[in-house]
Amino acid sequence: MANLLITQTCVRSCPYCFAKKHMDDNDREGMMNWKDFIYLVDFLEASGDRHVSLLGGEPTLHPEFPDYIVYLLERGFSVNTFTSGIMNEKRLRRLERVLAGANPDKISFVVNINDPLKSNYSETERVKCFLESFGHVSSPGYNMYRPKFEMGFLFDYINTYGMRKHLRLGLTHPIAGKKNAYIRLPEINQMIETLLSYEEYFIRFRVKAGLDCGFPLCVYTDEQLGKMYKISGGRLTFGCGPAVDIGPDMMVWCCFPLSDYHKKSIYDFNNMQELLEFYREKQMNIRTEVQGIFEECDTCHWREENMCDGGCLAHQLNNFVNEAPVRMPEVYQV
Amino acid sequence: MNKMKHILVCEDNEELIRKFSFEAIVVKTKNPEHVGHIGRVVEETNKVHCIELTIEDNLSGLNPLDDWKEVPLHIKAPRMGHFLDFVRVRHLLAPLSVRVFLNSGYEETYTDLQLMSSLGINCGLYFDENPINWKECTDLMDFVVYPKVPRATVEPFHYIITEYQPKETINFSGVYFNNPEKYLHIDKNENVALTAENLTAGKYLFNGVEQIQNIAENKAYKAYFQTWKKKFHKISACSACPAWRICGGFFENRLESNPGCREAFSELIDAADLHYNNKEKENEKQPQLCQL
Amino acid sequence: MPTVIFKPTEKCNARCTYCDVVSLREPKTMEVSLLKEIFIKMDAYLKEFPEEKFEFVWHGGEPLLLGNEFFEAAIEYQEDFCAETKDRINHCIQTNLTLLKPEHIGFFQKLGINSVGTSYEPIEGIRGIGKKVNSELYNDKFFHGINLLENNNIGWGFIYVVTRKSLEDPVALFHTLANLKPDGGFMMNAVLIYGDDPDNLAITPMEYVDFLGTLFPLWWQHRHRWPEVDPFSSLVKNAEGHNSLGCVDSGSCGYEHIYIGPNGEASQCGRSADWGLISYGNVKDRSLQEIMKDPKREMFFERQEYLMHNDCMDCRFWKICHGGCPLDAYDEKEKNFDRKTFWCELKSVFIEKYFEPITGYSF
Repeated sequence: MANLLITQTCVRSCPYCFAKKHMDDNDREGMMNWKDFIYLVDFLEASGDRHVSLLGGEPTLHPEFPDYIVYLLERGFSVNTFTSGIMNEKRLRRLERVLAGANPDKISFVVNINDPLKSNYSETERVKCFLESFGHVSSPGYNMYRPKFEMGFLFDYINTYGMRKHLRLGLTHPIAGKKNAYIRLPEINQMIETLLSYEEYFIRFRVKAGLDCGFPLCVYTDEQLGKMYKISGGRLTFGCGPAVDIGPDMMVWCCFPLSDYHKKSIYDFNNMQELLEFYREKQMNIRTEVQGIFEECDTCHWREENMCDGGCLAHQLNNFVNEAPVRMPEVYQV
Repeated sequence: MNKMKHILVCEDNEELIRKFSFEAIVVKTKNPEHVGHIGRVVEETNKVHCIELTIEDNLSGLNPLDDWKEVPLHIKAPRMGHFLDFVRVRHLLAPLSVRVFLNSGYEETYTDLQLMSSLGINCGLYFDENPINWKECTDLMDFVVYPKVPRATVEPFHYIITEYQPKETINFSGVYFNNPEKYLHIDKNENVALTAENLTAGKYLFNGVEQIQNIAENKAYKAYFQTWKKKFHKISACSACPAWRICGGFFENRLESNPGCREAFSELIDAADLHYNNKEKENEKQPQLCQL
Repeated sequence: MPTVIFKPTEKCNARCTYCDVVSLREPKTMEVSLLKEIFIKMDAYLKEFPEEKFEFVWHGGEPLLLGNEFFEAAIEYQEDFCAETKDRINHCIQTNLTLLKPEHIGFFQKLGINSVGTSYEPIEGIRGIGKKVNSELYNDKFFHGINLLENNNIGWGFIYVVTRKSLEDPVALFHTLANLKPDGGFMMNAVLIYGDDPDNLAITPMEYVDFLGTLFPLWWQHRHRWPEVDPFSSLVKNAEGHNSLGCVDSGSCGYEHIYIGPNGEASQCGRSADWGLISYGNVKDRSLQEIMKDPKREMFFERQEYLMHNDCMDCRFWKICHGGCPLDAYDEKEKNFDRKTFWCELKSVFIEKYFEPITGYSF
């Protein structure tokens, strides 16, 4: 599944935003046009993929956003949209009208919800309006960018708006060489403890946590692993692989934290398999230099047995930024 | 008997249609409600090759009728209209034998045809006096000739690609029922002309349906097929064009005012070549099995 | 198979700026009585050599200037005097087509001509009619002739003569030639101008090579799309091991050609007759057997032997060149042909600079 960035602008400016670097470096007015969009849908279909994620910036700012969703549905795709849920009344009502008859199994939203106590009132109200309309096809998303955080409100939202009982948890990572808010290595354990302090909520409200990639297995104690196993519904992995983001300018990159790393044109590839293979190879090159985010990764048998990828590559690349360029050239940003 | 087996193209005129017998006929109409009826009238003693329905409004405003199902149909609409409205029409058009043609003079037409094709509606461009956006046209050609996934056809590019033979010239006017090798145009007074333009301009071959059977001997008819050679009396934009054999000077009258056909169609002939070669290679790969 | 280059007339209705026929003050035309003699002699030759055939090329001047009675006579004489051998006479004709009439079609059909050789020139002011070299009128008549041929299912191919004007836009020219008959073929020959060149049409051999070099990559890239274009197609065939050589390169013209002029004068070929280089006497006085066995032909065989051991020794292009046309090699002082021609160098330049690097073939 690929992420199509159909806009490069957002209504919010979150401190952890992993797309910020990309948006700053590119034309914020840039939006994906129909022709490129059709090309990408063909590209995905030719790759055997019938699922698309729409991202931004804020994808709902795209004037054709409802049309794009309908188009994807007409093509037999299922569509997941990552959104803040913040949109004006007119846009919301239009979206409601357009998607009124849509098959709820084919559309979903991941609504990135910030702590209401730390957000402005009007934003929060707009999100609530969105959830009143689309809560039944939405899952909450939350980005953990500090070791301590409050997330009880997410369970309130799930219950209040009948949201899908799946909480997508984003782990914030560094963007190599840039300043963004993210969880430092020494803070990981604290962050896990904070997360697991909500174990009871997950169990009581039958909500499953979907954890983003990037943390290695060894940052968890065995007891924490057990709890994580339960709250994730048994879907616990410690991988770090290409997510594949495709921008409005038809450039493609591995994932947002690596958005400057071997950025390519989508036209360089014939299908998704080729593209993934390309980025897997680049990731392998980095791992040849440094096995993981900890020195111990070099000799770790969990990594050798492919149970863990050694954490997010962005952490490794971030370490290379200030050193002399002594490593193999593929490791550096291109 | 029409030895040349021409298909007659006429207006929506029952009296005229009933004069023909055992002919394949294209009927042009502007009235969506006539489509089914015309189809039935033609089928009484003739055969419907196609009904060409020209509408003034956008396609998205069209209300296809139930009795269109039995009729091969070409719809000429200026534009597709709003996408979400088109989606409604798309579901109604999907079960029909229909090709939709949009006006090449509108900027959005080229993208809209991609949309329609990718959603399974056979479609195409039609050209009138409006300028053609050659860059957009080239993009559309690329879309048609290098498909990543199966799509509905887009004319005239699909015709050119599939009919192309390396050492032959092809005439894609047939896509618009305007190739005198295959189609003849006739008005209610039974004036017969080589093309729609000639019929409108009063340049008739002769008068009377019955004369069509002797058309092979008609001087003007025979001369028409030699007119292309005039472009070779000296080096001309068309004679010197790499794409001559797939275009035949179709855009000659807009060479000065709306240049760009050479580049666009040169790309198309390269694509047609590639397509042909790939097809040949595929044929070569077929294992030769014994007949069972 | 002997080729008879039959030039029954030196007259031409056209005024092509590069053609030396234009300069003839009193162009000659063959008498019908001589035509009769030629058929009688062809019959005798074919009877003596039952395995042989004649390629009988009607040439000019413009052969269609011959009256209908001349063609009717040819048909009659062939029927009357070659009754047993006529199937071994293959007629072909080289004509500018501007005078082609429906009755000619009948003659062609009766003589078994199913394809016609012609010339085509889309650049104004080169081939034309009248003192003003009216190209428009010429091409109008030319295409009328083409239509007549096509309507009667007679094939045609053409030669293009490369002049200085052709160098202005070779690509546009090439496309025009290639588009004219996509299923056919054409040959591009360099113009040969003897004497004055008031219209500045002559090109240097190197200019001809670069002209071809400009077009070759274009042709090669889409060679299956274009018609057979010479010299490219022949070179490729030879590089692929299929022998395809014209008279200039074959090294064997000495065995094959007889020229017969309007007064019955016999020579090796049209050029040798025009230049007054070789005379095999006159068909009025000699049999075709005698002409074919004329001792002067030894010069051509000796030339091949000489070149193989001298000028062309170790030349890797020998098999496709054979030292070039003997006539181009003629030396006025030495009175012989024993040297390679100036075209040899140019052939090798074209092959080494353009052909081999692009095709990957090597001789």
